[in-house]
Amino acid sequence: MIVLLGLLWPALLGVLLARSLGRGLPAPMQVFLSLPLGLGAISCSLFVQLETGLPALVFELLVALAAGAVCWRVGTPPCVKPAIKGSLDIWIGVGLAVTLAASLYRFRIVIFEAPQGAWDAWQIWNMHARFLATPYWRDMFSSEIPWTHGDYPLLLPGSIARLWSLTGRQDLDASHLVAFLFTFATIGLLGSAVSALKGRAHGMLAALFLAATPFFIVQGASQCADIPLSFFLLAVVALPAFEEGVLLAGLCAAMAAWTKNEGLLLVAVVAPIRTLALCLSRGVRGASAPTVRFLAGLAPLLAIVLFMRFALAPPNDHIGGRPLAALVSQATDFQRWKLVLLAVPRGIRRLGGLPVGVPVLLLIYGVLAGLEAKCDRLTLWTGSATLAALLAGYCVVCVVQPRDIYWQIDTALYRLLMQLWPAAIFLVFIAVRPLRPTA
Amino acid sequence: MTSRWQVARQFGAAALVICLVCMASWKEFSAPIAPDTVSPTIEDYAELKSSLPSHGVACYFSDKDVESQAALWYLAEYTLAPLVLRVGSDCGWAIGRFENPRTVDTLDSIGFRIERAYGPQLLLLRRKQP
Repeated sequence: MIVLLGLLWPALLGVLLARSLGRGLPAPMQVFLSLPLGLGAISCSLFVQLETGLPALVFELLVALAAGAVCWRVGTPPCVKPAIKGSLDIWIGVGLAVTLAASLYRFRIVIFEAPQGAWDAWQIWNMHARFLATPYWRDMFSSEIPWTHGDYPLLLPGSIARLWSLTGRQDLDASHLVAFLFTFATIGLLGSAVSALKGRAHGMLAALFLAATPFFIVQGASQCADIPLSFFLLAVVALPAFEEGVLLAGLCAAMAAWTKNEGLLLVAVVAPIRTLALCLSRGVRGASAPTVRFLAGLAPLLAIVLFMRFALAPPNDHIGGRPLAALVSQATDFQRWKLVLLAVPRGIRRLGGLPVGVPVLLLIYGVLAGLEAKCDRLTLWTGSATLAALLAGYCVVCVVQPRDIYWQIDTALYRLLMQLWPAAIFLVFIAVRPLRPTA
Repeated sequence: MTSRWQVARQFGAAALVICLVCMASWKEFSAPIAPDTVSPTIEDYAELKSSLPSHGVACYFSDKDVESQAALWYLAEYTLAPLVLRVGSDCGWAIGRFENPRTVDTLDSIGFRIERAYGPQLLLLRRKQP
């Protein structure tokens, strides 16, 4: 219960950030963005405190004052009245409610079975939180314990450790709550973004497809960083569909890089893809303003991420610190490529944990619903290219990493695909027609 | 004809969604509950925490190959963080995890004495003063 009180402060910070940087965005999207942004903010403030000695609260108050001033100066945009519910909305709403109830039950069961989290959760994320909660946090970079991956970014452990300091109690409630918030905020953000673009029924269906993916719920409850990353990736893909969301998309890209190393790859691919797509669709002059806004959202937090990554953390054990010859030798091994490239479509077909892969069901749904003639092509193609580039990057890392490739595929494939899954559902629902035309 | 086809497709999509809801709900509600296997080991190590330094480096060794039972070492590190546990026997403090009771007899030869035993397999060890 105390952890819920501790959550009030990041919630307030998140609301101020979402309202100031994403003003004009639909209110439900702001709500679902708030807590993850707030958790990202307190993890940064904790890192600033540990690195500079400046109390985390000072940094947080500065952020709150700046964001609050923007909200006050600009004012609150008028609320859009929700559409009147039809019978279809009610039936889809019932289906979504049943699925969410089942998901909540499963989430609770997974937490009950493994309160410390899955192997990676306690070995990496919750372990780092324990270091970050003490003045001896730099010892987590020790070469004596390389298996805890000291180079991994700090959003998840930092937010848990900061919640501990806010509540004065170092217990598992904080990591359980953070896992819960990211899992269900991802479902909420997906549903609210599609609702705003294509109508309420379509939005609820999108949320239903994600909530009905058992592996997504299990992975979320495992307390690893893949679902938080999937949240920020979804935000990076979905927010630019709204003119007012570009600045926040940049911040979410940086938050992704602050969550997992895959987020750095996201930053590396999304910025050039967005810029190129904007130049092609709007010309160089038309592309400059949104590109600058995206980079303005990205740069401040990315600077902190890069400082942590290159000034403090040890090299990454997948690629960093290895001789070039070893990397080239593995990158040119045809057998490794064959294994990885065959595993990916197999993983997509089986993804989700149901007798039929949820992507297969989504594809059938898309075929039945048919393609929308007037969809937001810029968002669709930019998002698709981003996911394709990320998937290609994951394949390259899987091929060149030094461990047994069978083990790597077995342990990482579904997790990595799950990072892309919410954004992929968003793109499919943007591309297909709603079950009935929106009003 | 086009309108009928459109209606049929919408019905198909709705049927697919109903199947998805049923399959996912059945899968979630019928999932078996497995016991928590990690927490008991953590509780064992947690008893050591008050007797060890809160930070710095301590050693961890076993009569089995540590790498083959890495989870036990990792769980010890997880429980005792920010104390860093190094595999080896050249520290002032050490945690010994022994399956064979006779291993205890060899501790003297490597310069350790038992500070406290936490069950038959888990020992807190301290280097003997020269």
